[in-house]
Amino acid sequence: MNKKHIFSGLIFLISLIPAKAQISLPQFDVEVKGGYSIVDSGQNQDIDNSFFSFFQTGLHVQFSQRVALGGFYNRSLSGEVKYGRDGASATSYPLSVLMYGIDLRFSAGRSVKWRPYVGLVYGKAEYVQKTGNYNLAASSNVMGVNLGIMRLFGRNFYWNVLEVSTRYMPDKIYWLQADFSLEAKTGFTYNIRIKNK
Amino acid sequence: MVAFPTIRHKPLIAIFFVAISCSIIQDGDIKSAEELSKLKLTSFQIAQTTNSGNSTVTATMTYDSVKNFVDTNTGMTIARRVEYSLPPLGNLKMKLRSGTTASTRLRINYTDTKKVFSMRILQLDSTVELYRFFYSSSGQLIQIKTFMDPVDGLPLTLVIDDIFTYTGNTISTITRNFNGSPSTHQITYGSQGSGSYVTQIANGTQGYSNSGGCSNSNSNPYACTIYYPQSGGGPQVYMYTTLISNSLDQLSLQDQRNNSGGGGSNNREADTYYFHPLMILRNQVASGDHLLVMYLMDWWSIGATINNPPPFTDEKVIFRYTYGF
Repeated sequence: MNKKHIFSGLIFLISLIPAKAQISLPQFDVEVKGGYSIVDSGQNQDIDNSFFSFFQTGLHVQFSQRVALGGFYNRSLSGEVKYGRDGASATSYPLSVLMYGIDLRFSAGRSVKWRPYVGLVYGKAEYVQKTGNYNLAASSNVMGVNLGIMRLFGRNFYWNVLEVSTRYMPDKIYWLQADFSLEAKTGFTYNIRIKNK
Repeated sequence: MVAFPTIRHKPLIAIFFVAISCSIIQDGDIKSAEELSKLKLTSFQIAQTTNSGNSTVTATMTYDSVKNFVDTNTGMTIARRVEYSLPPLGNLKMKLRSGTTASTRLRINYTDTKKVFSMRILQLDSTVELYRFFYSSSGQLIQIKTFMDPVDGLPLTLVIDDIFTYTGNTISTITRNFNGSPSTHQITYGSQGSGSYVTQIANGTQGYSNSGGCSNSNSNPYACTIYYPQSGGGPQVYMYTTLISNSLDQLSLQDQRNNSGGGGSNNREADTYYFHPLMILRNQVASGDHLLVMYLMDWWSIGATINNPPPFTDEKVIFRYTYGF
């Protein structure tokens, strides 16, 4: 899957909206989240687990109160790969991460104040480690699961109290030999109401 | 009838899709292990922190060129030569085993099969140290010969001939011929994750085992233990390696002389480390990890015992490696 596919898919979904004129409102939501991720270095004895903080934006089309499909964009704010498991000799290098893709979200209905949700994620991930005078870079498809709960404030505004996610990269990050990460994030979601003509 | 989102929402959607169009991977980035393996060591830094003072020198690549000639001693075809300029190491902790204290050049020749053939350490135009690598027909490193040759035309001061035998692809013994008296040393490995590391090099017939020291004496050149960070414990010398993929990123030799934390020992003089080619050629030689450990064991000298020592701090020699294309 590439960016064109994601873009085309979302445009296609948006194009369906007029045909679904009678579905319940709102049809869109946007989200902004921040969090922290750990990239598991597995059996690699030379590298400690890698960390990065990130922000994430997303846009979803809601097909019903409980089902939404959309895209997300996740970019690291800061991160590091630490070599050497012993603190005395550890060396750290900056790590940058980009993830984007689509996610399918299933949630409780809008009538409840606390809405748990689960999401299935598929997309693309890029990892870049700045190492002296060169960069190590890897990209992989990524798939994962989100589990979270959000709380309603007012009519359209939600606080995503906590969302825990797993990410699996079938193409390992070759220099880390890593294919799994775990993230925790929090943020806000805003429902965009569509006005009737 | 439902309309498309109102105009005030469209910028949000536009920003979202503009953001998606970005990538953080640049054209010049190294995108695979294969590309990474093509990196060359362009320079390395040797930083010394001792109780007698500190020093940092940087050796830089000054020459890298294709060659095509036959070595008259071995008949091997030399296809590439690389040279590094090494500033004087001073008289602290890391030294050249030949005793040379001047600026030197490290000249590395490669065979036409891209294997390390030799490293010469040259003072001006004179070879003061020579390390020669020999391979079996299947490409396994089977021998390293070491020559120490004073610059003033005197006879060789040291000749060591090490012959390796393998079990599969793992070195199982070293037979050292030192001044005409060969002795065979068994190599013992421990497991570390999915790999292995050398835990002990011993002469089984004489019952050598980990002695806790790193004597460089003629009779027992391998009686030494290197403890990895995971092992803990309290020997007198530590080694740490940190890796990026298969490239050595940093090599830290630590002489634990401050015994306040337990395990150290300050009742002796400082250890001396000697520069060995595998400190920069580790990832260019098969079994380089194991060989580096073996020669680190062999290539340092424990300081003599002293009474009523003053308080010492730990001493370190750290290699930092820089790679490029």
